[in-house]
Amino acid sequence: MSAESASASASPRWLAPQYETAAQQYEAAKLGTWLFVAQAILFFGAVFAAYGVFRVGHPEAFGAGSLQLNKWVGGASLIVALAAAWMGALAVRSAQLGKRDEVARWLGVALLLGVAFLVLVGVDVGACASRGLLPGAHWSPRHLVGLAAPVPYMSTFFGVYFAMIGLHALYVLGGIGWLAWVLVRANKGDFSKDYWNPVEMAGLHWAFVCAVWVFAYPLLYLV
Amino acid sequence: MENQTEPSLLLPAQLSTIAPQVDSLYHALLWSSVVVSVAVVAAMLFFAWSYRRRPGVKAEPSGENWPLQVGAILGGAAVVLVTFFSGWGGFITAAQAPDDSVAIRVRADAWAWQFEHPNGLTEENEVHVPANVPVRLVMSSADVAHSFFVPDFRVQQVIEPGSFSSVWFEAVERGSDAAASDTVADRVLYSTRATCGEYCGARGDETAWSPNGGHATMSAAIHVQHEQDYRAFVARGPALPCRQPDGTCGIGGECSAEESGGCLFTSKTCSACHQNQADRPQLVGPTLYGAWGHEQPLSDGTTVAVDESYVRQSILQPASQIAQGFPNVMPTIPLTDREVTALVAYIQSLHPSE
Amino acid sequence: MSTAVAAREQEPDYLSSKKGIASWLTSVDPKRVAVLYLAAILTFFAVGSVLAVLLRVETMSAGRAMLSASAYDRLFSMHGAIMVFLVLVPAFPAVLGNFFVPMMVGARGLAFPRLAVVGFRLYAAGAVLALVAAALNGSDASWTLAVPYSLHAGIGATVLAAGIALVALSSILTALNLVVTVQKMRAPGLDYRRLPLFVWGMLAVSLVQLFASPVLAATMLLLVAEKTISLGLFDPSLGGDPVLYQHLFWFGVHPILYGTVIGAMAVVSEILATFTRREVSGHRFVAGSLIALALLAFLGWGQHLFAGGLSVYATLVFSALGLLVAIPAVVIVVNWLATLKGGSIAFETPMLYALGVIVLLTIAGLANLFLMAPAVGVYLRGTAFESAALHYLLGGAALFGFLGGLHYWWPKMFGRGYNETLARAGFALLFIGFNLAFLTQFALGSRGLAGASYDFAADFQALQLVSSIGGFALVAGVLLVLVVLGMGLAERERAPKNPWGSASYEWLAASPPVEDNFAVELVMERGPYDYDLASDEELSDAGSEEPAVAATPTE
Repeated sequence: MSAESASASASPRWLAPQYETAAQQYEAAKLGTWLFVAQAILFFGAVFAAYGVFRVGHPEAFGAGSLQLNKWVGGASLIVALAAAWMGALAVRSAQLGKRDEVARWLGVALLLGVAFLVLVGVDVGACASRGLLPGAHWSPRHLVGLAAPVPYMSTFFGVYFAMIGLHALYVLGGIGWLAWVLVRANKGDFSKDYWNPVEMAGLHWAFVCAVWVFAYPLLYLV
Repeated sequence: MENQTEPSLLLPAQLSTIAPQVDSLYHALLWSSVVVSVAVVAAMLFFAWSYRRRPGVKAEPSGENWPLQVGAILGGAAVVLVTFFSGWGGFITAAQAPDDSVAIRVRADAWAWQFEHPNGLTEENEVHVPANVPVRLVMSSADVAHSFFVPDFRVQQVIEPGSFSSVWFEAVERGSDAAASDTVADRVLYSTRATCGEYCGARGDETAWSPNGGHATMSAAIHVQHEQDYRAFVARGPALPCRQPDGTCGIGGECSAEESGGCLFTSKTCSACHQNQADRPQLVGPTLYGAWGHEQPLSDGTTVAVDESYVRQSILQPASQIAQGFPNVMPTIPLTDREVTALVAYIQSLHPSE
Repeated sequence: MSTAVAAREQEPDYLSSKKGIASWLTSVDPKRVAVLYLAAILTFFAVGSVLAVLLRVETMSAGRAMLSASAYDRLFSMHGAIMVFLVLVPAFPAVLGNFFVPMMVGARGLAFPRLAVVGFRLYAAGAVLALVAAALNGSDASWTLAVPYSLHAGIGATVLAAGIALVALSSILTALNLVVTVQKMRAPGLDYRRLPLFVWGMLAVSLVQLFASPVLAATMLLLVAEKTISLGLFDPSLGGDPVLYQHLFWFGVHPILYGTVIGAMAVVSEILATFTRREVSGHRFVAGSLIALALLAFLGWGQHLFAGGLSVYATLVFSALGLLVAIPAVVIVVNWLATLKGGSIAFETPMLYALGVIVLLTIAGLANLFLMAPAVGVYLRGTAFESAALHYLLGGAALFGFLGGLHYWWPKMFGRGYNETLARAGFALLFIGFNLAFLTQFALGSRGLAGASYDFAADFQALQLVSSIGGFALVAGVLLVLVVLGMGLAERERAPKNPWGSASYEWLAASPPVEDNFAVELVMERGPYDYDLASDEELSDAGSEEPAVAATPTE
């Protein structure tokens, strides 16, 4: 067994003390973020599994339920989500090029689009609520689209819908929080051409946050 | 396989046909477990003692030891295969109820078992079943999950609310007493117990200790009878209805056959065609008020006295004696003996009071 | 020794570098985080044990002893929830993992020290919610919060479910941190072939918790939603499916439970190597088996749905999948025995725990065969037999493994030893008490005693009494062990740096370690079990605080 003495040479202030090199820090951050994304797939997997079980059990209720949702509002939310992910990617690109101002700008836009996404989803939820299309015990449907009477188990569709939207909204809030923290650091000038890990990791995670909706939207709105 | 009808040290009595099968697997697993545990502990203690630290003696370098690894993997695989295939056979038998099973409905709620025999006879927290005949229980729950668990039969089935589940067993006769030639509806060969195998709580009274310990005391007595005794027991039919305090008819309480008959007269739809009150118009069938004891002309020209024999016959086989001037339209309504007796008593009572 | 190293030698250890409660609560040193977890876990362990005493007093005799039926239900539910979610789940990764994984890969710390702190705060929040639930009359919905029973339970069950969700989120972060640390923070020379078995085990546990905890967290959040806003996914009266809950819950929890046993296996492998002074036999196979157990754990959830919610064919499939764990389990136990053969074996307390785990794990594994063979498993499901098998796995193998690990690393963690005689007495009391308490439960279950039974038939009386006596001895053992370890902290004499003469890397650090773990940067030129390559100085148990490693400054 041999040992190296602690390297006494000055390391950049952004290199955390537990790491030897910048590359090690970058790779650790990247692996950590990917693992976080991977576990989040299982987190949403629970709701997607519920969706699958009920969908197979009551296909007609899911068709009827999906009909009640506003495809245009939903479609808009999908476009906003994709745009938000794109803005996150632009922020990472700018960070890599060392353009500090652009980083903050793109992050800010991504953040606003995240909020806009939540507003759009909220609009659709509000529309459902106003027509009594609420899950479980609160089910009291009015003004159904294309149906004379509610289909049995339609309330279960809305149970899945609200579960998916609710968990995703919580997750989006977490993603927005992450972006906001990176934005604050960007404004403090923490990032440079040599060090932009947090921007890249937040951007990677943000892309996943938005990607979940790419799967959820067709399942809920288009069936 | 011979059934062990008394409990052993580790297992309850074997009172169903599948019990010996379950137990032989249990014993096989038990003995191999004992052998393996003893072998592991013995090897561990032996090695630990033989290779205890001694001054000057160093540990031998350990290696890969391929034969050991291959042996361990094959040994593990053998455990998997043997357990899987031996655990499979008995399970398939237990999972598939024979076609000729007697079907009994079971409704579980916290904390009681309700049983309903095929003819509608119901029992609460006890059930009579025939010996040597497969019995299939079709079960549902009214509230939370329960599990129908009969240790002596080695059967268990969870009952989730919102769906039906089923389980079957065939109780054996215990002892050697020969099947009696006569039929006694109340004769029970032996009784065993079903308990709840799925935790279902006890949100009862906090302070008072009642016999109801919730989940732990949710049990039902299973009375096993000779098949013909069971048939006789069931043939008594469901409990007869009585006038309830609010004036309606329902199950519960004790009353005369006459009163029960009055309830049945309506519930079995007799009253749709037969008038049972004085000074009211005749309906499709003969008026029964005041009919008892009189002579009744029949469509074949003969006359018959309206007595117990005639009324009973007319209920059971309506077409056999048609009253003159009436169409032959009365259906055969399925009734138990006790119900018929109650109806006859009621019809007998339909006359002006003296 | 260079002057730089000598200077670092003077650094205070991680315990004394900063003072005050605030310095603990804000510290990003994973060793301090681990100690905070340890304090919380041991506290809840004591609480859970005391609840067990009350339960055994009640079931010592048929009928009512001192608790009402619903009080009994709440106590056993809280006992289970506390022991599983607040003690067992974080025990291996959050205490032993956070503390020793960085040391055993020769790193200065975890990859994400602040994430570990966030993890602890989430755990603490979850624990507080569990306490709030207890204050709100507790939950009587068993520790599994099974639907629909839990939907009828009071607000306590809702709060408890939220607490479990937070603990699950905390597990995700802990696990993620450990995986990245193992993958990216290894010292030069430490490749996967040399990786200590404890680190392999923690990698396996972390993979389990990383991918099972999110499902548990989501399920608990859905349960909270079901109970508060009647979402209608689980409640059959609203069109929901209670069996869906069972699938989701066990998909998350089954691997987590197995993970605690993997943690114990990791600790035992480490202790065996040290106390036999040789590498564990078939190192690669044991490491592979630990990972295999982690993967197979994800296929085993269905075995909890036997005799309910599964079709005949699904039951057979899950029986086969569940049984597959026997292969890696046999490989591990066989290699443990082979390690003893040819060793130079010492029998201090940690070794007693390791040997105890071998016995308990063997019994647990065999008992689980009964449950996984459907013909017998359907009969025994939900009975005291199943409860005993679960206790052998968790309260036996896993907890004995954890306590063994604590005794093993206590001198390294706190720089103080403990009274060896009393510690051995503690082990004896635990081991005898445990087997007395739960071997009897196997017999009771076989004879048809349903689990969670407040009351029972008179013919179960004798065995229940024996079981209770065993239970009291077990809890007395728990309290004795806690007192012995606690008294050890107050010892004046410092523990030696390497009391067991281990060649493993963590013993190269001072006891207790400095904040950066090692005074020098390690380059691994030998494996952690190369006793023939380790210098006498490295293996010496002298109380020196000097680093035994030869420090050769390289650039």
